[in-house]
Amino acid sequence: MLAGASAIFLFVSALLALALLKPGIGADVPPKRWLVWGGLAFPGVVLSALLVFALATGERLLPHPGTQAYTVEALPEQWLWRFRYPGGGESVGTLHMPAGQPVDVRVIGTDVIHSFWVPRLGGKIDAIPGHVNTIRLTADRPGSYGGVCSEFCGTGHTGMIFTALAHEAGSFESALAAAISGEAPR
Amino acid sequence: MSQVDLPLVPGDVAEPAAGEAALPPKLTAAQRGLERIWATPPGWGRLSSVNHTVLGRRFIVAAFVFFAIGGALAMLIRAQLASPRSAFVGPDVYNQIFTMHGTVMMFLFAIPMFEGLAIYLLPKMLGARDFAFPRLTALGFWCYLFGGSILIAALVMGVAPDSGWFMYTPLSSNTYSPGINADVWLLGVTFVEISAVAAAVELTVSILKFRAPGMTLATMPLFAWYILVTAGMMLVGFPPLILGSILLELERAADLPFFDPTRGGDPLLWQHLFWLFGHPEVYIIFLPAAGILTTMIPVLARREILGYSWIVVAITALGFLSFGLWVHHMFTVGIPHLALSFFSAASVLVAVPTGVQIFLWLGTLMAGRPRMSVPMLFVVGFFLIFVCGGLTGVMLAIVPFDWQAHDTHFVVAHLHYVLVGGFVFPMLAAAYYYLPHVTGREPLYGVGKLAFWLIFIGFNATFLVMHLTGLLGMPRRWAVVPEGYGWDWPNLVSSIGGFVMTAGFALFAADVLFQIRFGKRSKPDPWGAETLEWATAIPPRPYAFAAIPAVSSRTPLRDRPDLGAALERGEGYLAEPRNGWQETLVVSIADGQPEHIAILPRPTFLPLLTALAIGAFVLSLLFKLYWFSPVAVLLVTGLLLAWSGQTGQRQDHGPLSAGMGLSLPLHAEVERPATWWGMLFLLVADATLFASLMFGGLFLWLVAPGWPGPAPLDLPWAPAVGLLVSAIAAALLGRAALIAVPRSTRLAAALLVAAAFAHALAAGCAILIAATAVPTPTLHAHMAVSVAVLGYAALHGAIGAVLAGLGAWRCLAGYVSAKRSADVRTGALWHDYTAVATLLAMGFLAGLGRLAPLRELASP
Amino acid sequence: MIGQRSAANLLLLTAGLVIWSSAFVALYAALSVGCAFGWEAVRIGPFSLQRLVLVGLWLVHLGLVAGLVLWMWKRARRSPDGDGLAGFLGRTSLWAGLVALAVTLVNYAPILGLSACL
Repeated sequence: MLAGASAIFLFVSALLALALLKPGIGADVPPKRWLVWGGLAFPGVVLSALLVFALATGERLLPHPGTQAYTVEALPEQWLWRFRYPGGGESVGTLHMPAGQPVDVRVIGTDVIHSFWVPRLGGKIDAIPGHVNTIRLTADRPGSYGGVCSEFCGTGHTGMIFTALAHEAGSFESALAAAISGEAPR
Repeated sequence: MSQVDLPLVPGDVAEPAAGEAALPPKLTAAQRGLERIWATPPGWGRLSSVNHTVLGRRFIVAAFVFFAIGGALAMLIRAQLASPRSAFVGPDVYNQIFTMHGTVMMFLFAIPMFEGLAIYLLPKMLGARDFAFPRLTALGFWCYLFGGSILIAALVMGVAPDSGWFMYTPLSSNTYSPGINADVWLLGVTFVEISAVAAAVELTVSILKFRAPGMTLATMPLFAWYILVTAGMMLVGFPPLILGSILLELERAADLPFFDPTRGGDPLLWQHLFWLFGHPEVYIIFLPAAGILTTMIPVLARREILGYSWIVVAITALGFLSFGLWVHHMFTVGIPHLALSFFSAASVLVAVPTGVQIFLWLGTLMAGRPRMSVPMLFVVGFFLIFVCGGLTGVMLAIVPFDWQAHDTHFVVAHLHYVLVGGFVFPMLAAAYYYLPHVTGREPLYGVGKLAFWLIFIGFNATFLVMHLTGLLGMPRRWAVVPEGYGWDWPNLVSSIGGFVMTAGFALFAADVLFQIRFGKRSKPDPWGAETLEWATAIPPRPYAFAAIPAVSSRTPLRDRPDLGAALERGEGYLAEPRNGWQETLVVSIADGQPEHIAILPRPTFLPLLTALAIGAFVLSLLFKLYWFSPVAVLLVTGLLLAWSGQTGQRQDHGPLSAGMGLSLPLHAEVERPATWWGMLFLLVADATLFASLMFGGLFLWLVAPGWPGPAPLDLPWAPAVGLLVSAIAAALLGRAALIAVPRSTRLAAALLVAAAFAHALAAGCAILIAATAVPTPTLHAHMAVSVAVLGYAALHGAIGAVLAGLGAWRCLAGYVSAKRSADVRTGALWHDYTAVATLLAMGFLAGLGRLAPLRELASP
Repeated sequence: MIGQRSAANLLLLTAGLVIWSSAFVALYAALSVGCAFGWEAVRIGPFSLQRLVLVGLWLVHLGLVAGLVLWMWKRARRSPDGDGLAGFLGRTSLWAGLVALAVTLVNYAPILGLSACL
């Protein structure tokens, strides 16, 4: 997308430079040619291709039913991230997830609007009070990934960060159990 | 922040220099007569000005002052983000700063700036002496100034809005923003919006009707087409935000739960209403700038614009398509992908008409022989920056990309490329291009070039790098830059660039002041332009044209290069002043045939007083002095009624000479004067507001949690029937009065009095229904929406009663006769609309009551 | 019949795009209502009720715009050529109609492919 955009930008800049450096260069170009080629055909082709590609990609990223996914609930509140796991356990500030398999995060709105975002794992989804939104993420490798609240939510907005910890699929359950028991006092 | 009290001073910077000393040596007797009739009085009398040249200048100066304030806020943001872990201001102050930066730039700079430009230029381009409703222009200016001042005063006192310029609920609701900060935003911005809707009505009617004879829709300057489309978009685009602000203020003040998810409201409703305004807003800002480019480029390139008709089609399409984009600000709120695809496709499609314009401008430049000058420099700057902004805009329209980039600094960079490239650069070009017109002085270009390079380089240093900051993942609205993410150096570069850019703007301001003061006298049309605005004297006289020209092509000054001099000699229409009347010509919409003579109102303090009264109402709400609010409403109503005393005729004049052998009736003696058209377009905006309200009700029913509500809504049948019958009766009586006018004005007055009673009865019934059927509207959003709908009907009944009463008074006071029936006709529009709206309102309430239980069948 | 030099031509200029707007509102509303009430699960032959409703609404609006364009095309052929007012109004409304047709076609084409309620 960047290469395409740069090419278009250079093309327009070149036309503009020509107009200024060689006055009258386009005097013989019929106006209709500008309209049909520059205004309609060129953006038409580029944009349709882009749109089809975009919608196909978007479709692929959706949490389609039928895929086996591990489900976690995220309950953000001013200004911390609480995560709830299928067994009922909870953790604050750290999202534990298995690596190498799709994880559906059900983002549940509580007080004001927040937005769940782990930049290196995927897109973002808002937590709207009264609504539940689901986003599907996959961490290909175990590791620690930074997460933020990306919707402005008041004075503590900047500090409302969390970590997504992806564990080896095999050792995930035990790692989760250990982590939750460690969090128990809270 | 010492400059924050500046806007309280009305902006008349240009005035002293352009006073008596600037008069051309010889005025003809007719011109001296016109001067006496049209001039704004000196001293305090300046506050009574209703003249478009004066008010256009004031709008522009005030907007620039607000721009300086917004710029200062931007500098504070850049200072905060220049280094990691900066403790320059805390997050609570920082939140106020960025909220106000966005709010000031959008509502107090961009919109008023193009309004000012349009107000100053349009009558002159169209060959009219002023706008259709000069007092409305003045009211708009004062509302804007007072609303803006409320916001800035709050900033100085440290209670400025701090929930972001988009004011998302529930963050902006009472629970999470208990202070008056959010109220300041809602009330201040709504105050300014009144000004914008007033301007939209004014611009629409004036472009359609107030033109030079012979100027058809096919020969009208393209700038007028651009502003016509813009004004139409404002009529439909602003009401959703006005409604949203009213509903949110009702929630904050009266606890009506429109947006509270625990009581059947939904925060998403606010987002829809906000962006339903917010995205068209971007094009509302861009189109006038594009219009001024389309005006300047052919002159600078010395070549007629390519594709006049194509541009008209392109901007019409743009006006519509821009309404299909609003959800692209909401791609991450959890809307089905198919629905997102509609908005994504529309967002991509909208690039096509924009591309058409870009390539037609390029074609014009390439076909002509462009001369390098400071305006041309800024035009080049526009191309380079705006094309970048457009390309990143297409990227953001792509849903998966947006899921990544949304709410990061990438979006900040994109929107500044679009708005600064697409609005500020064209405005700077226009400033240098039209400065000779405003001051009558020759342009000097040394400093302007330096200002351009500082602004251009500073801008790109700030925002080109910011794309990277965003792609590196830095979210928007973070109060500090954390270390260790690689975000520190791009932020530092942005901050340095920002200060370079500010230096450029300061240089620009100094340059303009210098040129106003010391420039040499200019010849009439320094650029060799061919449109009518250059046929006026420069600086323009208050009457703009000593005589109104007849026009037969798009380039009247090419057809007749000495047109300006000929008009000053009085060779045109309405050259002879008479009766102290401010006269201008009104033409038919499509083919520009002269229809009648409009007598415009003279300078008056009423707009200022009315704005002050509206301001008192706003402040009473802001400080919760609710006992005073009804007093303020009465004050506003009384003052508005006083407006009517200044217009109209108490006798039939018959056809009067308009010069050049043409005889025309006065505006009072035609079926559809400007007031009728103004009422029509006002009702378009009103109907949009009502439609948004009904959309809101249905949206909550379908989407909000907690439906159906705890109790069903039963409409009591007796008052319901009473409401419907009396609303319809009011409309019929209004129509009957119109039929009665030719026979007897006393009978018409009696019928109108009856209509006023019917309206009052309808309003009473609506209130009665609300009181009996919805005793506790705070319980659930269904109840709150019902009260809002009934309130809408009651308000229209009350206004209808006042208007019908006013009509009866005008009948009795002799303003109405068989020939002069337009007052009654204009009133009838309101009565008819109120009847239709009341029917719809009751149908909606009954329907929503039926639908509510169905929600139980819906999937959660 | 609308006079070739009448102000009502301004309405014709916007007519096609108004139909596009109507399609936008209708489709967005039908999609939202359908997803809430489970129309996606109701099968009619090989298609879901949801899909049929959406495609139906789309076709109705496409038909309306196409009819409008056809009428304006015939009308524009009758009007005099050149740069006069009548020619200008006829041309611009016809082109605006064509734009509306293209936009209505492209904008809602995703109905055919994407999953409706995810």
